[in-house]
Amino acid sequence: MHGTARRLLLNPDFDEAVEPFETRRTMGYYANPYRKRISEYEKVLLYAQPSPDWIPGGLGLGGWTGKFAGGRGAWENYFTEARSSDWFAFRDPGSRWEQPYVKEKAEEWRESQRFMDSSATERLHDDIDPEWADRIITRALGAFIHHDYGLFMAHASVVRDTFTDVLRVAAGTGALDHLDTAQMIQAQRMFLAQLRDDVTEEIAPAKEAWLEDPALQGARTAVERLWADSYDPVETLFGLYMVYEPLFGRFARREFFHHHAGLHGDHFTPRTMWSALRAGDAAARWTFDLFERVLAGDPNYAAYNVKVMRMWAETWIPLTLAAMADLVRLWESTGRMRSASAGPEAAARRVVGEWVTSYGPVFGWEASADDLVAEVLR
Amino acid sequence: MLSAPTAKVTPQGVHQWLSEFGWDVDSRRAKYPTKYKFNKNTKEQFKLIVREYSRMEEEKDSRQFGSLLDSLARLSAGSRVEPRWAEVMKLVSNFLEVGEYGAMGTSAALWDAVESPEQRNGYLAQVEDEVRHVTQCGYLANYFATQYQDPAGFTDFRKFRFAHPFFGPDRNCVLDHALSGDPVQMSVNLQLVAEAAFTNPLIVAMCEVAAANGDEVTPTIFLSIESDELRHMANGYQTIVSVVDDPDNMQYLQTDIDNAFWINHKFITPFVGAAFDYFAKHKATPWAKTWDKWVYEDWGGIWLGRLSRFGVQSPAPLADAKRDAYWAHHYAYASAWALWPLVGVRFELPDARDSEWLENNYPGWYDEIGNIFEHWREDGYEDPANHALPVDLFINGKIPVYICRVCQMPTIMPTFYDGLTNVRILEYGGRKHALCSEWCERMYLKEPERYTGQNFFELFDGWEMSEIVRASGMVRSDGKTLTSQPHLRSERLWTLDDLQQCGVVIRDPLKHGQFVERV
Repeated sequence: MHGTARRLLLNPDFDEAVEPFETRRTMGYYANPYRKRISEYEKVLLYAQPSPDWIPGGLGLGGWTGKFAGGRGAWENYFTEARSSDWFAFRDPGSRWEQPYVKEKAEEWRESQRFMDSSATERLHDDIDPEWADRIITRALGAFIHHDYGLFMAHASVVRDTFTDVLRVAAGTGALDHLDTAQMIQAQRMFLAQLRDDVTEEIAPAKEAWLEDPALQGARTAVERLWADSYDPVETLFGLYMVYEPLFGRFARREFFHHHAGLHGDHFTPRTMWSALRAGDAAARWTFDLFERVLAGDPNYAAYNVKVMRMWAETWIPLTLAAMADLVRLWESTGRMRSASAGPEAAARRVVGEWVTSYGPVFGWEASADDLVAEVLR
Repeated sequence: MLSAPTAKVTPQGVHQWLSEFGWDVDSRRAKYPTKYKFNKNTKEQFKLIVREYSRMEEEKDSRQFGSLLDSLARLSAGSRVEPRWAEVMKLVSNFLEVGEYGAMGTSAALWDAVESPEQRNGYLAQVEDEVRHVTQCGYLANYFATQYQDPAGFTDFRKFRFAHPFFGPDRNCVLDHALSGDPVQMSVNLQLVAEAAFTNPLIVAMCEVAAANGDEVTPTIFLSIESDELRHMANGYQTIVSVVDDPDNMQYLQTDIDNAFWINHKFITPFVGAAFDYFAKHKATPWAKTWDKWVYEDWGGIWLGRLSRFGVQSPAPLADAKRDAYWAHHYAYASAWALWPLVGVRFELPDARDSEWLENNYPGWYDEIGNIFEHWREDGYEDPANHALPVDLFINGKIPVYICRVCQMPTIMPTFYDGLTNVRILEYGGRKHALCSEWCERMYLKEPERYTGQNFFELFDGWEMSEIVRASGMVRSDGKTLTSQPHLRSERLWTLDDLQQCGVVIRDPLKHGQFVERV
């Protein structure tokens, strides 16, 4: 550093109060707060995306000056079939920007490490039914490493293509949550493999189940479609978070793995599934904001968007129901399930019933719960 | 104490299985495909899983926000900054934010495109890092807005930046080019060039200058950002490693590096240089030397040198860029001051102390450009009573300045003379296009359809300057005093009426020969 430079933090010159030039210190007069006052989440994120005003809600003007070969711009209205009068109206009600998100995940990590340490001391792993350990933890649950990895990959082009900062960040947390679930399933298998002979950390039996077990082929088809075939980012979010996760996701994560683990003395799978359920719940909050409040409640395009969502639903509901129907086979995996489980029908009725009353009405989907359950149990 | 079996799961242990998480599907194609062929088995240096990554970032956040909300808040650190320097942070925080935002999209496209699961994991982490950096830039602006003597500009930059003459080149360089194109080209733009060559001077060296000017807020945030950037440079390096062992890829790679370097250099070099050498009251190392150290020697020599065994060479435009780095930032500052009502900050002409330092460190400075600043001061362009703007220089001298269609920078760099003699004008698609240099012309001639967006002069052709300010909202809370001012004093502030009385109208020079005229 040259001679003229010096540090001035404690320079007494600055101890004298300076008359402010300007009294207004709040940013974002152009932004509509989601709640009463503009939040920190909105201050740090909202309108970070520099969209021109021909993408509705954008504050800018002009066009993109550096484009893809062929002339496609950074973001174009034709990226999605959905329409909005203001894409920036969306908010994640959970306000999961980076700081609260990593704090939550770091807490989960510390908690899961403490649990693993103490559960080994308490020998909780001894309680697990061997049939469940082999058929489910090693294979079927292991297959969900690939399932959630595929769903994590389905977020990639969504995070690239969505129109606003707040939605991009919400989709990013969705991706992290799915990758985290895949990683934590493997962490659980690695932990148990050190303590029991009937659990392996090898991925091979899990991948074999994912690629070949008939109970999982419907899920694999749906995941591969979400990952590779859905080019509209809003459709991908719809298919994943309005249809697939609340139906198949709950059916598998909550009704199959979480509920049955206790029946088999498995204290570990509920821990792993718990954070996936929490992630699903957090995602549902922003999903409803996007599809119910913003798109289905749009002052100009509500009816159009509902129609588009119904069109999308025609693709994703059959794929999801087929995945659930295949998964029903897992209810026959162990003796304890065959004798003591409430069975797939009760599970399907709970999940479908919730979906029909909460999700379907957002886009006027009028199928009865009985019809959908019959599809699952066909 | 029970005797317990031992079982440990480490993040690195989980990570080592990551490469088996994917599965092959013949029909699957990336939505952002690339002309390059990847090596599927490429390893990644980022060996963390989501939760361990979160633990690491939580720790960094905790230190950063702890400092900002405790010790720095109690010291009113945001109000103890040299005003001249604090003003440039209005620009830096927002312009950097645009780059971080673009990088979020770039990382997502790469996460979609690459085939190695380890790389995908690394790119997802980079997406979240970029979210972090965007919010850090927003937090920085908000922090100053609540403490610094003049919050105007820290508060509303995201809204009025679209009327800023240098926002176009900023967005063009750090966002448009970073997330539009072949994914590997995006990676070269963002990681191999912007992050590896320019974040060191932009972020690390800037902390030194900031601290010298009483600004402890910026280093607290920027050094935390830079700790992630190191990982991004590694991501970029691994992306290159994943393509260099296929000889077919090499036919594209050098050109992509050349172009990415030139685009980034054209905006970042003069912008950061002006911040260091003009906005700093207490100056550190002259920008030309900082640039030489970080960009020319460290990046062009050492970083790219590591790739030389694969046949990668330093970019062809590096020598021209080195010449630019000496003069371009002086002209960037002059052109910003010439259009000061649209810049969104208060900034002043170099004083005697600045001039002496500039002449000492850039011999020939006064004859080249210092005399123009002196002329502007002597002719009273700072005073609203005179109803005159420094763009008079261009109007009276009939100096044609264009905006380059590719880099979006005005054609006055590195110097007026060079800018004027290098400019070339082409016609294509029923429009005229100005290009600043052989490097931008080369890009344009190959793919003109990539560069069709309107530039600042075209967008505002025919707009009187006060109307641009009014429409963009670049005014203070009284609704009439300009956010921008051509000095740092608290008296004789310019208003919309003063500006209107200057009667200066923006013009499209490709149609009218001039970029401004007086009416």
